[in-house]
Amino acid sequence: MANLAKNYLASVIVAVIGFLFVFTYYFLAQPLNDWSQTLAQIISLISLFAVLPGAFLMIRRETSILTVRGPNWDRSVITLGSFLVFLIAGLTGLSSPIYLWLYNNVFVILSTAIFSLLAFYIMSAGYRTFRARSWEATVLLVVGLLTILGVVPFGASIWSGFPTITDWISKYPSTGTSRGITIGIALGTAGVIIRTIAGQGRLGRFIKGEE
Amino acid sequence: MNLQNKPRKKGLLNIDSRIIWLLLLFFVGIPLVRPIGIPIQVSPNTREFYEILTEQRGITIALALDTDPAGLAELGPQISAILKIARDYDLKVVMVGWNSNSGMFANTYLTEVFSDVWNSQYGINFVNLGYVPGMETGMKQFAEDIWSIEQDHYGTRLENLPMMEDIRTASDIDYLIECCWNLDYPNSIMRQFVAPGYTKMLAASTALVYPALLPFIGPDRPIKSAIKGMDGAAQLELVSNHPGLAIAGTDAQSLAHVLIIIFIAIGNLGLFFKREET
Repeated sequence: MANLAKNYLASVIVAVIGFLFVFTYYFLAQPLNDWSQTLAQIISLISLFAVLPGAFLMIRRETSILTVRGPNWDRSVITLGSFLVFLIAGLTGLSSPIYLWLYNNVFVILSTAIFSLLAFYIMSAGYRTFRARSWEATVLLVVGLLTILGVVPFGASIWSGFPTITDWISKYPSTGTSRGITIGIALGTAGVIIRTIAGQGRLGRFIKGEE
Repeated sequence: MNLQNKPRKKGLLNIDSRIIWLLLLFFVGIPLVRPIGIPIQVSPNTREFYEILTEQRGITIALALDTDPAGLAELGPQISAILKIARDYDLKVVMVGWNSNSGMFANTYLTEVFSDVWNSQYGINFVNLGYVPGMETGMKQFAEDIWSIEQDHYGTRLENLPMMEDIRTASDIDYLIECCWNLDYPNSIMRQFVAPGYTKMLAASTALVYPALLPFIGPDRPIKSAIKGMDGAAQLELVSNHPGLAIAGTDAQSLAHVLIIIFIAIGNLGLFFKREET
C-alpha cells in the first residue's frame, strides 16, 4: 500500500493540477478558475522560498573556499561581502537612503556596464562573421546591413527608404519564421506535458519513482 | 608548437580585437562628450505615440516598468521623456510593474521629473505602486482589482492616495505603456489587459525587442503605437521639446553602427583579395 502511494501519489497530483490548469485556461467554470488562481499564487510563493536554499548553498560554498584558501579565494571575499552588505541594507527597508544608494550606484551601474560589454563582443563578432563566403552568407550579410542602416538615424539620413525596408523584413520574413519556430516549440512542449500528466515519458516515470 | 607562441595572422581578415574595441570606445565616447548632431527623423510610430498621449489633457496612464537594469540605457530616456510629457499635459501617472526592479526604477524616474512638486502632488497626480508579484497571475489580479495590492511602493495604503479613489480596475486607466526589454511582458499584457478589453496599450521597448512587436502595432491592433530604443527616446524628446540624454546617445549609437559597417566592409575586402591571390 505504501509502495502504491509512493509510486502513484506524485503522478496523481501532477495529473490533477495539470488538468486543472489546462481546463481553466480554456473554460470558465467556478470554483475551478479560483482554485487555479490560488494555486498559481502558491507556486509563486514556493519559487520565492527557493532563494533560501540558494543563498545557503552559496554561503557554504564560498565559506569553504575561503577557509582553505582555495583557488580565487579573494573572489569569495567579494561575493560574501557584497551579499552581506546588500542583505543588511535590504533589512533597513527598500526606501531607506542606504539601500537606494547601493541599488542605484552599485547594482544598476554594474548591471548596465556588464550588459554594455556585449557591444564590444558584437563588434568583433560582426567583423569576423559577416563575410560573403557563400550565397547564404551573402544574404545574411545584405539583410544584416539593411537592418543596421534601418534602425539608426544615420541610415535614415542617407536614404529614407532604409527604415521602411527594415520594417518590412521585421514584419514579414522575420516574424513568419520566428512564429513557425515558436509554434513548433509549443507543440513539442504540449506533447511532453501531456505525456508527463499521463505518467508517461521520462519525466512522468521519474515522478512515479520508476527512474 | 605552443599555442601561446603561435604567430598571429595579420591583414584585413585578422585585425586584433583590441584595436576594434579601442576604436569603438572612441566612436561611442566622443559624441557623448561632444554631440555631433546627426539629423533625427521622427518616425510615424513615435509621432502617433506622442499624439495619443497629448490629444486629451488629464487622462490616466500607467507605466509598467518591466525591465532589468541592463535595459535602462535605452528605456530610461524613454521613461523620462514620457513623464515630462505627462507633467506638461497634466496626465495622471500610475507607475507599476511585474519585474522586481519596477518600484525602484519608478522611484528613480519620478524623482528625476517630479522632485520639485513631490510633496504637493504625490498621490494626486502620480503614484508609484511598485512591484506586483506573480507575473501573469499578478497582472490578471491587478487588472480586475487594482486595490488588491493594498499599498504603494512606500507602504502608503491606497485609501490615503486621493488619485486612487477613481482608479479601481484597469478599465480606469486610459493607456497602459509597457516599458519592456523582452517579449514575455508585452505578450502577457496583451493577454490580460488588452484582450479582455480593460485598457489600450502603448509600448516603449528596446531596439532589440521592437522588431518582434511590429506585427502587433497599429490603430486596429493590440498595441496602438510604440517607440523604439534610444532612437525612439530621442525622437520623443525632439517632438516634446525636452532635449535630453537620448539625443547625444543617438549620435554615439549611429557612429558605433558606422564603425560596424566599416569593419564588415574591411573583412569582406580582405576575403575578396584573398580569393584573388588564390
